Amino acid sequence: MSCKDVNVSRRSFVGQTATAAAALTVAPGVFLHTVAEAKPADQAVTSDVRWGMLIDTAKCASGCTACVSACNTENGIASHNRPRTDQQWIRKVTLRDKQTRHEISLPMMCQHCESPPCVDVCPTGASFKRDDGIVLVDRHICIGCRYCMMACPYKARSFAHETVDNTVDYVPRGKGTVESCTMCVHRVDEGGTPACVEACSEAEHGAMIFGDIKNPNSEISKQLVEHGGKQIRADLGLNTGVRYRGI
Amino acid sequence: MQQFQKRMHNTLITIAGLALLAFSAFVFASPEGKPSFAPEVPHPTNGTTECVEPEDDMKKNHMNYLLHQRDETMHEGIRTKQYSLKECINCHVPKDSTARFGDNQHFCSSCHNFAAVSIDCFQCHMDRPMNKEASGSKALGKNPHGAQMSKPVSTKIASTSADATSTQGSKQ
Amino acid sequence: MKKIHLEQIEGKSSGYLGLIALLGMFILGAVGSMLYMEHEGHWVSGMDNQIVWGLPHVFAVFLIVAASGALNVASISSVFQKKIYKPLAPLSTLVAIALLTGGLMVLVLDLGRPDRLIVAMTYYNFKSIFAWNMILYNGFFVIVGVYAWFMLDRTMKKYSRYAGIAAFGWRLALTTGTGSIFGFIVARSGYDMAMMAPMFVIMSFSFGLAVFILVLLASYKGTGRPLGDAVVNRLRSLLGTFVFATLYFQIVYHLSNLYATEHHGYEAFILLGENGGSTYSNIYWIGQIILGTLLPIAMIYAPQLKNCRMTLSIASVFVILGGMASMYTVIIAGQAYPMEMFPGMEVVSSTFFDGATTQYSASLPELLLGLGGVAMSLIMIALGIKVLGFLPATLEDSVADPHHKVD
Repeated sequence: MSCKDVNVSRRSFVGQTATAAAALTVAPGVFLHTVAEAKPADQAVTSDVRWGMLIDTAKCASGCTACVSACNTENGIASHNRPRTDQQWIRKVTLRDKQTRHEISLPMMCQHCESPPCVDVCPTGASFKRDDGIVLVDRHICIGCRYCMMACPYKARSFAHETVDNTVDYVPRGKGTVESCTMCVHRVDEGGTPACVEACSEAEHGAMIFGDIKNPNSEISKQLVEHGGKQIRADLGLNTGVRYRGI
Repeated sequence: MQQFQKRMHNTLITIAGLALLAFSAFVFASPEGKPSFAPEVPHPTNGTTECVEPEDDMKKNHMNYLLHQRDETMHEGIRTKQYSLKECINCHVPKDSTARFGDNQHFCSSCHNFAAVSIDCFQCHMDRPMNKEASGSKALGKNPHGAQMSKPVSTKIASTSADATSTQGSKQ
Repeated sequence: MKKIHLEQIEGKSSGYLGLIALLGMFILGAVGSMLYMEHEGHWVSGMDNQIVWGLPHVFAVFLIVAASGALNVASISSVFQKKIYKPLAPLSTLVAIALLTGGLMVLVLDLGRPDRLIVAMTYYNFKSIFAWNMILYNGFFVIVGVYAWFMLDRTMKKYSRYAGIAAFGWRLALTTGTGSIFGFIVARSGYDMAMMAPMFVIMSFSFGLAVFILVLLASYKGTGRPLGDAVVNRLRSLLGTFVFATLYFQIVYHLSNLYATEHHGYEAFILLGENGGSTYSNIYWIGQIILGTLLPIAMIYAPQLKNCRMTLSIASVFVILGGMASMYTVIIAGQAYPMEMFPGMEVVSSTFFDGATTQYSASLPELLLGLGGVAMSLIMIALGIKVLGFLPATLEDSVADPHHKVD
């Protein structure tokens, strides 16, 4: 603004400031999409990027299961009304501190650790970590021994206990193999965002952020620097890719 | 007598061998170059006439292409379409096909049943093109602001005052 | 000590054939249940996302642990040069191989994708103790096979000691590996303990010997061959020593855990049955401690029962039952106890049973699968002593006892 424009009308100045203030208040709830471009399809993923999530438990609404529904729809996971054996890639957990009686709620999924115990124990190497940090199950070589399910500190893995009637062709899943949250790798590889993160912002909660935590300019990195992000079971030293605020 | 028997024996073997040769020549020398008892492999109904590789190459090597591609896709995130199983199905199996893998009318099992080579791909993968309207929200490009995900999108928080005064109050 | 020769059993009696038929039926039952579970999917079993390894694994791990222990008798004869066990060594190798086969059969048939066994044999992740176990199990078959060959082949007999040492080392590695399957898991309070591996080694001594004793007593009774007290009493006191050793390990395990506050939850769960653990606590105290440890010790060392074979048989059966209970406690109770994901917090709600103790009830297919594995081991032993003839013709005192004094 030059000196000549100083005599801008009071009304427009007030209007603009009010709008800015409104933007500031609403901004944290805005869907923060940080990925710039999709990598070309014929290029391998590299470790220049590490995908992560930041979840703010203060914004996570206790009764809301938008992320869970979105994940189930996206990945074609159907319920068989058998909660003990049904696959759950993401779940909502409500916790209460025993001393302070403070309650929080958060979504729990595969934490995409940097040193995943599930990868260490898999006898065939089907459970593996991609260079960009996403931990996956290669169901072509999974023999269904379920050792990774024993070893996962977050109970993130599910076993396909019955024949899977596939409804989606971009997430092949089958009976007898182990599966878990893939961080919507089929979307991420094309520049997208996991379905749960998207659903959370569509539901106007904005508790979940997804992005590249190796990129200091990404939204998630900035949020991590500003507000911090704790790992669940941090004492295990796994350096998870999914971090939480407020635990 | 022994000599005669031996010669007779050799002659019979020769005749039998020649007959077999003639039979196979007759059987295998049909116009398409394949045996007349070979299965009827359905052709794609979407108008394409060429596969990603020549037909003979595909017959011999499709399993190797698929095997190589699956490791590249899973472990390295390389999602080229040329050898993708999903794309094979999208082309070779009609969209509203009622034939499932295992039926003789399904493209893959028409030959695999005949050759008696069992495959377990379709215990996990879909054996026909997905009905995109029915389920799954992955129509890539869906984000709450309606913008294409593949294009660069960034949403700035109006965190600095310079940004605040310059914004017209609209977010991307 | 006179030279003892091994003799095939006749194996034509109705009792023997009946036994083979019965064991065969159990094996068929296992195959049937495996086909059922594989076709329908594992939801028909009692295993779920909370208890991922159930009764089949209890049987399988017991058999595998007992397998390496059954080799002990042969190892003591070759490695530690105890002559009295030398005639028993070939039988010991047979029992070891049979038990391992039964255990592996159950393990493989329970896989989610048993058709991918070739994948398991060809893709190895060498950081996984499970992958190492596969190599150890297959190597066990080879090494013990070679050991048995060396013992029986006159030209190779002089090398049998080296084969015995190799087999002994290999079997220690195998049991250490089996224990480490659980000991390497940091996620669960009941595991994550370096002591799991040596604990399993000591348990293998005890379980394996109990099985061997039962096989010996049963086969000599069944065939009517003489079996002297010298051999039986040596085995009796050996079993007593091993059971004492397992008790020691249990004491050290629990005392160590009780010292650390963070483990108090799991200790209360197992020892006192708190937090929904009453079933597991009962199995631990009644099965593992009383039935599996204290009663056998009393029966073995009671002076009045010194020579009674029935007592030794019952004590061995108790050790085996106690062994199954200890495997149940390790494998199932370890999974049933909720993972401590949020220390200091309680879970108010979760759709995935976070923070909740799981009650496990085994299903019939699982039980049949496990019993089928046991039947496979027993049928291999029964057929082995007929076809291979590993049973010494006589083990009466005058022949078997190296210190036998002629009256």
